[in-house]
Amino acid sequence: MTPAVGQQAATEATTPEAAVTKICAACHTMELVTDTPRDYDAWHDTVQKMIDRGARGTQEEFGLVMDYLFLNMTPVDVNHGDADMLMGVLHIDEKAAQAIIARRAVRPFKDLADLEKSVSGLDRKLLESKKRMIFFQ
Amino acid sequence: MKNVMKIAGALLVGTCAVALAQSAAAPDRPGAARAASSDNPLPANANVVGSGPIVMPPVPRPAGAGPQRPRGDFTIHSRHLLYVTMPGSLERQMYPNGSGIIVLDADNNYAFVKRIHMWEYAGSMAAEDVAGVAARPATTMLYLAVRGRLGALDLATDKMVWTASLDGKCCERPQVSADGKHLVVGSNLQDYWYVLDAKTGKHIRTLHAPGSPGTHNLNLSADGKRAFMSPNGKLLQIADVESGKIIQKIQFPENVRVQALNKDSSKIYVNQNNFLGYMVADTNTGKILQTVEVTSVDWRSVWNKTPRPRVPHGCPSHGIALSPDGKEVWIADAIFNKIHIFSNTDNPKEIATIDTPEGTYWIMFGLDGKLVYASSGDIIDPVTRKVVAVTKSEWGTRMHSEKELDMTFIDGRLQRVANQFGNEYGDFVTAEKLGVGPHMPVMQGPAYPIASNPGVDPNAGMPQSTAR
Ligand code: HEC
Repeated sequence: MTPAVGQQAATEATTPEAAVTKICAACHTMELVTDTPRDYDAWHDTVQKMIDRGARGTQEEFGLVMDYLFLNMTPVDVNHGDADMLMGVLHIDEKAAQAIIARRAVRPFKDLADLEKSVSGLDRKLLESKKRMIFFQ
Repeated sequence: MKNVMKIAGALLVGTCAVALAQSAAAPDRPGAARAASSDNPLPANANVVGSGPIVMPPVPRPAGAGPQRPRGDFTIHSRHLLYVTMPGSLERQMYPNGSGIIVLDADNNYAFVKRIHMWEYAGSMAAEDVAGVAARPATTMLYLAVRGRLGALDLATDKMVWTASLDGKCCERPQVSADGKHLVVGSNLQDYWYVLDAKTGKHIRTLHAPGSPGTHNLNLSADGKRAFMSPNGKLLQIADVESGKIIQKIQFPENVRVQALNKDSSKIYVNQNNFLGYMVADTNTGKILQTVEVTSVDWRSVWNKTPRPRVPHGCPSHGIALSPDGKEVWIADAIFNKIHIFSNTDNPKEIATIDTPEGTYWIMFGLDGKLVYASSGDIIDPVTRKVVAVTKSEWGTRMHSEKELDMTFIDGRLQRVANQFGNEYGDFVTAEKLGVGPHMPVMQGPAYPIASNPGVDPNAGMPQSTAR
């Protein structure tokens, strides 16, 4: 069972951004979080480590923190990640994710340029800002 | 897979990884490959962007690895800690472990966790000797009594909540009722005990025990209603905490030293001066029921000499504890540096002896009776009778302390605490249900709010006592 993690704060955060700001900037700056993208499982371990150090929020809020970390701070391998991963990290819809999966089955993507020219419906600005988290292996 | 992730995580966030990225002439574009070499342990496929952090690619997931994204499933880990207070033995004036409370991790072979300084002392000054320690989940506080004052520490923050010096004649070993309402603590060698509000430190009343000068130990019945006040003298008095009235007196042949109670506080087990053994008295009638002597060693021929040998605390046995299930009585032997274990029956027999060459002058049973903490620093498995660990400070030196607390925490909240007195409390399940004994039911909800002005003495201005 998963008890509420710590005490309920007066106002509960209801969006990923609000949750991460409320919980994760309580002891250190957000840079510590946003500077160190890592695998989703590693984020899970990190958040547990922060809870061991005293980070507190409801289970729901920690769910939102994990959403934030997944959507913004998790690297993806375009040639291997599953649809959920592609949709979350690249902020694309199911259709675009399936297009990527179909295309890479034929020919793996070489790089960002290859991805951008081969698949429609991508947010180029976002991809540019997240480029260090996007891998082609 | 989790382990792999941890290693990768450490690599990519450490400052050395950042330094590496800065020093190496890293190509400033995404996805650029860098060759792994002996001074660059990063795999070739790590992304390096200028002086920014290095991002590792996701770890490939095996087919059928289950849901990609667990969303929550976080837990607050419990901690099992031993709080050792220093200087915790009058018999170790010059020993090398300084002052304060040394926290050890019972889940990790008593590894050093931290040192809490209750009061600061000038380097040139000796710290006050610790007289006793108690804690209660109901207040989430630890109470430390030293010769001269008493302090309450909020265990969720390790900050002092209140401090008390009362009439200037405090303090001895404190005890706190399970509900956290009353803290009873002896004056320093006078003939009275104070009752304070354990939350605020406010003085409520004084339990006077004329005829029992030399206030020393203090025990509380499990329900917190009766105080067993033993002076370093022959007359032990029992007071009703609420009314302050003396309800029974027990006359012993020699000075009462350490004491312990059975689960309903109907019997008291005491060490006596000039005696290697213990006595049992009926707390309702005031009659002595048993006198149990150690016969496995010839202590009388060593002791009955002029001049008497000097032993710590000046008595052959200073340390007594009932096992929590009440089946055994453990007593310290300061002459031969042993612990003697007796069956707690109508006809008690010594059933085992344990050597503690460093000298034991107090014995405590830990939570659930699983381990015994001897003041020699030895931690003993009561089943195998073997020393399984030693309490050591951050400097690796053995700590002698007669004042330690075995506690568990969840979410920084004190959950359970063993008593410094070796009181029996019956079977664990019943004790937990009743909320009596050294254990308390698991506490939920927010921690007790701490005082807004930490460390303030609520009794400031109390007249200085002129007694003795
Ligand atoms: C109770 C205080 C506290 C809170 C709240 C907290 N952290 Fe931390 N965090 C720390 C401390 C202390 C460090 C110390 C650096 C170290 O030794 O890892 C740290 C370091 C980090 C690091 C760098 C070290 C590493 O393991 O990579 C990351 C990333 C991080 N925190 C993420 C988070 C996230 C995400 C949250 C929100 C869920 C969070 N922190 C909330 C105390 C906290």
